[in-house]
Amino acid sequence: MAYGVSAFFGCLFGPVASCLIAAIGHTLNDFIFYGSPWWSWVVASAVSGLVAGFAYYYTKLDEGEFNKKTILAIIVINVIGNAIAWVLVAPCLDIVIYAEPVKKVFLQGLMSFAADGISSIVVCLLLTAAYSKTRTKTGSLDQE
Amino acid sequence: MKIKMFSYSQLDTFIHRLSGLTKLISFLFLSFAVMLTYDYRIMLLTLVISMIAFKVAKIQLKQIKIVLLYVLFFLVMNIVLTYVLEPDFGTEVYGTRTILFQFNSYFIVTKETMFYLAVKTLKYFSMIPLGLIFIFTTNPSEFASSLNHIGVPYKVCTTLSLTLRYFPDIIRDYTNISLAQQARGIELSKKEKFSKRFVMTVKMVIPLIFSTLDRVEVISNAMSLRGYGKLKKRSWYSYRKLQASDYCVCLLSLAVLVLSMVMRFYVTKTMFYYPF
Amino acid sequence: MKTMIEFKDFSFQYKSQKKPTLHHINLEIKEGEKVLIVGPSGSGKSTLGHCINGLIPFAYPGKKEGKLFIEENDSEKLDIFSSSKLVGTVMQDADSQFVGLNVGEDIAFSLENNAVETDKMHEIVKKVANLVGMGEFLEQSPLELSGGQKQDVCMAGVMVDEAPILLFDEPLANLDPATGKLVIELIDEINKTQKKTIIIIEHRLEDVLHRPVDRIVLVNNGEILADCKPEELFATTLLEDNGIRLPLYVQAMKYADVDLGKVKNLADDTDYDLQDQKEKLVHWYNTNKTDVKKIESAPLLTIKDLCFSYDGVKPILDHVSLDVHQGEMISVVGKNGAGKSTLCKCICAFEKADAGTLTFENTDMNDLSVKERADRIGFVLQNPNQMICNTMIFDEVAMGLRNRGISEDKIKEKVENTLKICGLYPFRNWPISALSYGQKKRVTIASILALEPKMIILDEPTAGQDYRRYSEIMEFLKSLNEMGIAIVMITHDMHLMLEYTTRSVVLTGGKKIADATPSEVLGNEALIERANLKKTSLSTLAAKAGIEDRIAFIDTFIQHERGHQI
Repeated sequence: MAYGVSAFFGCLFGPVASCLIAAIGHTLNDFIFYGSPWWSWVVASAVSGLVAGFAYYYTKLDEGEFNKKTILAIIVINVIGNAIAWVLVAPCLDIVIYAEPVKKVFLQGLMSFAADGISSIVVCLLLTAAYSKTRTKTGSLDQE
Repeated sequence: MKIKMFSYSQLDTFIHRLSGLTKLISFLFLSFAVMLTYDYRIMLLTLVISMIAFKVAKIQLKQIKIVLLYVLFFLVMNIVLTYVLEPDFGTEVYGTRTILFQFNSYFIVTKETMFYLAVKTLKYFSMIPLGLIFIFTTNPSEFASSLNHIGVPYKVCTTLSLTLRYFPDIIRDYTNISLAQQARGIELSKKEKFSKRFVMTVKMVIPLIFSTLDRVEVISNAMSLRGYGKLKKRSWYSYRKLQASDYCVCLLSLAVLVLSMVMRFYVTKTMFYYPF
Repeated sequence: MKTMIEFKDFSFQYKSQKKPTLHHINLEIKEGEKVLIVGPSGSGKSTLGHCINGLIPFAYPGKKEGKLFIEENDSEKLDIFSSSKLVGTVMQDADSQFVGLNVGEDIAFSLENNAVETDKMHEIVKKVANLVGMGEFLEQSPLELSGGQKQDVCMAGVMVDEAPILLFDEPLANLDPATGKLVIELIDEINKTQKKTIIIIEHRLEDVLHRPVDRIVLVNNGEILADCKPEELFATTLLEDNGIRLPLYVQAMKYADVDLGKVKNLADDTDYDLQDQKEKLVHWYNTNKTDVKKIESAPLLTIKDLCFSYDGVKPILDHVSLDVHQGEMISVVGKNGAGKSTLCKCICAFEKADAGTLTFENTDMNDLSVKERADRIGFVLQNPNQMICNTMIFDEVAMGLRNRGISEDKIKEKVENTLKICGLYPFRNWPISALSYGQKKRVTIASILALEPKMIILDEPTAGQDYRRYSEIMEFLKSLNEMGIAIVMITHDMHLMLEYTTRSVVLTGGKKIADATPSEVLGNEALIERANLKKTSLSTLAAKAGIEDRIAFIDTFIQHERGHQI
């Protein structure tokens, strides 16, 4: 859920914003629930946010555009972003920093990839669809 | 959602009086010291230090009960997962295999793996208090200014402090929204199909996001009107100058980090110290 | 004297709009002046404010024509940062302007951005905080402050910049009447002692005029219709014609055919002198005096000994008992934080009461869920953005009906009816995001009205609405009320309470301290003081005219006004 929201903000404001939102969100969340951040996954979150933010360059949400191209861009970018983050970055950092068992981290990575990837795409698409409807094209408003 | 965000409590203890920068640096040093090693002696040392800090900062056990429960759950999951996937992981890291007993040819119980899991548990428990002490004793706005002082760009720091500032508002908004929607007949209980419930939940997030976006617009306007983003650097109202005690604490935590690194690279020459 | 602001044949058109919002504005404001800009919603008064503080074009791009000078600088050459050095802006929503985690930090925000040294910053913050009376609260978090205190902090935060011009954009919108009074007094003090040029954008004319202003600029349809002293403006019908409400005492004088030119100090609501015009008022009172008849009907909702507390220590509601009768229109008043909203939330099960019973039409409501209670009692939240979850107006109003499984044809009919009554029909195919705050508010009222509950609770139904919309909404609520729906409103608006409700429940510190007719409440000075209400200017007028029975005078005025409107 949370990843979808950061992906959505990425589509709106660009990669830097979504990267920050994901990283800060994850850090604070870890602080609240576990007392201490699990840094490797914070970095992974930041990466997924960063990549998701590139959708900003392929969509024109501000102008109310929402079509097949938008959907495709969001799906492709989020799949790539989540794959890099959870299947590559998170496990590798876990091994390098924490020296966790290899099989375990990759299994966790794959599970997160599936769960976060699907939820972030679905949530992001629903939000962008709703958002694009609220945007108005330049000079288009007049009372009926 | 009753968990209070950043349950910072204003007390006057030695730890509270330290600058936020000191606490951030010590937190990072100590957690890296533990993070980068599996040497239980370093962990015990950190654990003792953080236990003392706990006492000094007068943190009550009931304040951290929920967090401990979460950690315990996560830890058990993690240990079970590690054991199920790699029952012989201890051999891999320590190089020897002392079988205590075995269920079958896959699920063997070795002294090394048990030791590894025990050290891992210790590792979690020595890391958690550090973070807790940090968030319970650091004024959130000082936290942001400290981050800026260790080189994080100020826009990131202000974003963080704004998140902390508006988080309670957003939680309150969400509660109101969800109740207002339930009043209009949205059913969120288990009676409804999962797919429908999911769509409904997203639908409820929509007013939250849009009211947040509106808020972002007003806030960013308000901030620009007050000169935010004008200069390349920024000063901080809540920044406290470092005192002698700050330097001492920083040095102490640095010492632990150095000790940990020296042990790892020069004394035991391995990440995994095994006494047997 | 220096000219601080000068519009020369200035026009502006927002990028997303077909027509310009401002047309050929010519306006001059001199140093040290205090100017009030009034106008109905959508008149362009906020746009005018955005042009002055530089948000146009920084945040809202569009097409400009003509010239605008701020302290003799061409606005074309100013960026938002240099504008903000000249014009300090205090916004309507103090909550959103409060960016710091505590009072000191918020006041310091602008200094931080200018990289002022920490020690010096503390010094300045302390000084400015004392100016607005917040010196003792530097460590408080915004959650612990009242609305008025937040507004004070925002003012201080703007004052550290030492900008010569201060712009207040609807500063009273979210404040209770007594607090609003204090804010206006503070603004006046800043104007006098700091020699700042003050511009206030508001439509609550009477409240702003609690302290004198030099000029009133009336804006409507993007044009300046009047730019003169308050007295001169009162003498015309321009204010009424453009949906701005006159101060009640002036309105009463107009009804009584008082020659406004002969009243000394007319614009000062406490210090005017009726001189030889007294008789006219007394005469009007005697000829129009009517008795208000009380309506008795069966109780719809009975509340007994309701208690609520967030932490089990500090009571928010303390044994509140209340009857709401069929077809009543009730106002719940009291200062911010008195428990008004909590009471209503407990009624709707948004909060779970700790003790007490709720009975609705003889059925016990204690075990009913949020949804089940909503079938009987509708609740309209104060902030429309928290209720709206569809993108199109039609769907939003239809949502409650759809969730209750009504046929599409019927829904269409009901929704269109509701939209027509709410004046939203022309916008029915607009996305909600294109509406103004006030219009959104009407959408949310419409979405609850469409469900046709027996009782509706509204949290601040008219906050931020101009007089015309206020009257529309209130007349609409009244017509619903006449159909037999009981209406309970939380309000800070003394006009609303006087004019439209038959009973006022006054809460203070979680206790009910009065339950009487509005004119009785506002005629009782001790009560006014205790509950942070504001004395109506009508009772001062009655006293000045030598009319003994102030309550009857207030009632007479209201009756007359109702007759006038229909």
